[in-house]
Amino acid sequence: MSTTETKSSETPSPAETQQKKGVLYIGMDLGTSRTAIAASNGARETVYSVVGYPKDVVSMKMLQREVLFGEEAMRKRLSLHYYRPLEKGVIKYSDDSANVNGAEAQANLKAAADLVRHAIGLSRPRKDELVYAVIGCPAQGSIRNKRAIIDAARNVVDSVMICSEPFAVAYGLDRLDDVLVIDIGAGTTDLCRMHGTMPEEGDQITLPFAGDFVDQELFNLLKKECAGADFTINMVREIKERHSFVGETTDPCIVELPVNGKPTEFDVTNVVRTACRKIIPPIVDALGQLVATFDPEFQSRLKNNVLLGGGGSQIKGLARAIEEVMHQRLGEGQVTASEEPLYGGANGALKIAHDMPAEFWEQLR
Amino acid sequence: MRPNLFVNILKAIRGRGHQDSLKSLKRAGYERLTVLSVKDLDDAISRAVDSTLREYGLTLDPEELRGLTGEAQTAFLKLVNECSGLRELNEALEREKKNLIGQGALLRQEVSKAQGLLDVEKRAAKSDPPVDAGVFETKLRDAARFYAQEHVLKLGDPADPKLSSEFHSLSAEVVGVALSLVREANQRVLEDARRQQEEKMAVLEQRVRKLQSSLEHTEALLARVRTTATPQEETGVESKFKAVQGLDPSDQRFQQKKMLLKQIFDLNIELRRLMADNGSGSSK
Repeated sequence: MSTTETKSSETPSPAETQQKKGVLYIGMDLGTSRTAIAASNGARETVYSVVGYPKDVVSMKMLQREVLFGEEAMRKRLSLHYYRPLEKGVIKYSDDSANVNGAEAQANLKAAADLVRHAIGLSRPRKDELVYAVIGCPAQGSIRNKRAIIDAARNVVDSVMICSEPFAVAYGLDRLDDVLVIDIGAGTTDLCRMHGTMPEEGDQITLPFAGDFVDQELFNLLKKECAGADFTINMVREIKERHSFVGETTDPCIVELPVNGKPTEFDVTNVVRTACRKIIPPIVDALGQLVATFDPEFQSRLKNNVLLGGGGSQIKGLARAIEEVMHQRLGEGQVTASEEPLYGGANGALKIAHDMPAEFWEQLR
Repeated sequence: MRPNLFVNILKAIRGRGHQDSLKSLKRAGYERLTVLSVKDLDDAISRAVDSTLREYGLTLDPEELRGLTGEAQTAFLKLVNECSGLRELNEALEREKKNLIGQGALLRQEVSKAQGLLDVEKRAAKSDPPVDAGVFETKLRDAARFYAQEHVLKLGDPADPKLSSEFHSLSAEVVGVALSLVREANQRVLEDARRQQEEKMAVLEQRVRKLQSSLEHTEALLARVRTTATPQEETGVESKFKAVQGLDPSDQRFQQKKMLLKQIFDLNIELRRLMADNGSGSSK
């Protein structure tokens, strides 16, 4: 099956008619754990938000690259200066005025910039096309943080804009009225109330209880329950991504962990459930806060239009569990999990890029 | 149409596409879709091959044409496979090119370092001050006369003319012998030092030559890789949009979205202004 375009186009800009033969739109979700892009040439990619630079000439010769990203960087991190440049959704140290010019701050800025450029490169833009990108980032990010992102992108695209990440999720799903978006990432969980206009500061809450928090809780619980087992936070993250759930399950979660070097099986079903459930109370509290401060005439609509997205929403049964707690505390609630949790932000940013008028793009070049 | 080509084309199309629900297409604004069935695709490709063959002036009866179409399709498949092989070769050459560029840079650094060492050695060789033979001889004579005089004093009265003339001839002989011994030793030392320095320089020059030869070899390989690689196609995947799109005026939420997009734009303009006020970063 094929599709044909039925849209009418705006007046083409002078630049594109003179030099370029097309327009590539890119939507990017710059996340603490993962960065996702969606583009109008069909490209859809995710990459772990990690960056590595060879430590010395020997490792440079071995790796044959000056910079590595994602899984490859994680695999070869022992021979790299290894960076996870984003923390709680913003570039590390970018908001820390005391350490603004420190070496570590500069290194993280560079790593973030390289990550942005790499992610844009994943969409495989053509040189003869205009490239317009929208990047979603947390509303709480500082000017410095946003500037770092824009500066990185401006070197590889023709025009770039930044928008609120939860807003992008809502826009992508065409849910602009009386909807509450919960975007569970690695560093933060962002809640955003949509009421037909651009969300303001009071419409958004950012919580530190997200994927990394669950990892740490699971780590602590496993230390108690799996006596003698050796494991790292990365291993715990893999267990979570494979087995996470909050409701009832008939399949036990059996994992192998080394004990004195010998792989040993452990049943971690209850431990995983307990750790994953820890994020539900703070989310419902924040949800309640946003509902309570909303126009009372529309509070019921808001409660029954909760949209769950982000990587953390892949925890099995989480939508139902949040609903149950909402029923207990707020009287009612309906939660829908996004069909594409990893790409929700990127898809929304792409849609914003697509709908943005030509003259706006031209002015921001 | 031969079954295997048919299946391969279907696979290729399915492989490039991604699944999307009708609901989400509708949300994206697609009201109408053109549907192409598998049989339509089959007919379309056959018609394309047939009309292309006719353009080349082939007047064959339908039976022959069917057969030729099949051959043309097989030839086409073969070309596609070759193209795919060439693409892989191109990618391998690109990787090799990057590798060689890296090696070339390292070799250039090594050459420069070795050349630097060689220059230092050459400068050191020129600036070593020669032994001032005249000053040395004067000092030696004075020392010899002093020690000879001391020795002679032990033998007798220094005012004794016979003793004095013997003293003078003795000291002259001693000085002469000492001088020749010292000259020989000096010569030997100088020659050894010069030989060592020459050996060092020879080793460095050889090293420089070897490195330069490696560098030339690498650069030759690089040049060959550059010319051998297939002409650089426009890399990248084409966007489905030939022009800037913008909001669809028929969208139910046109006004609302227009306002939201304007707000996003205004926020970005404000952000740029703040960036400029704070001493913005780079421009493109």
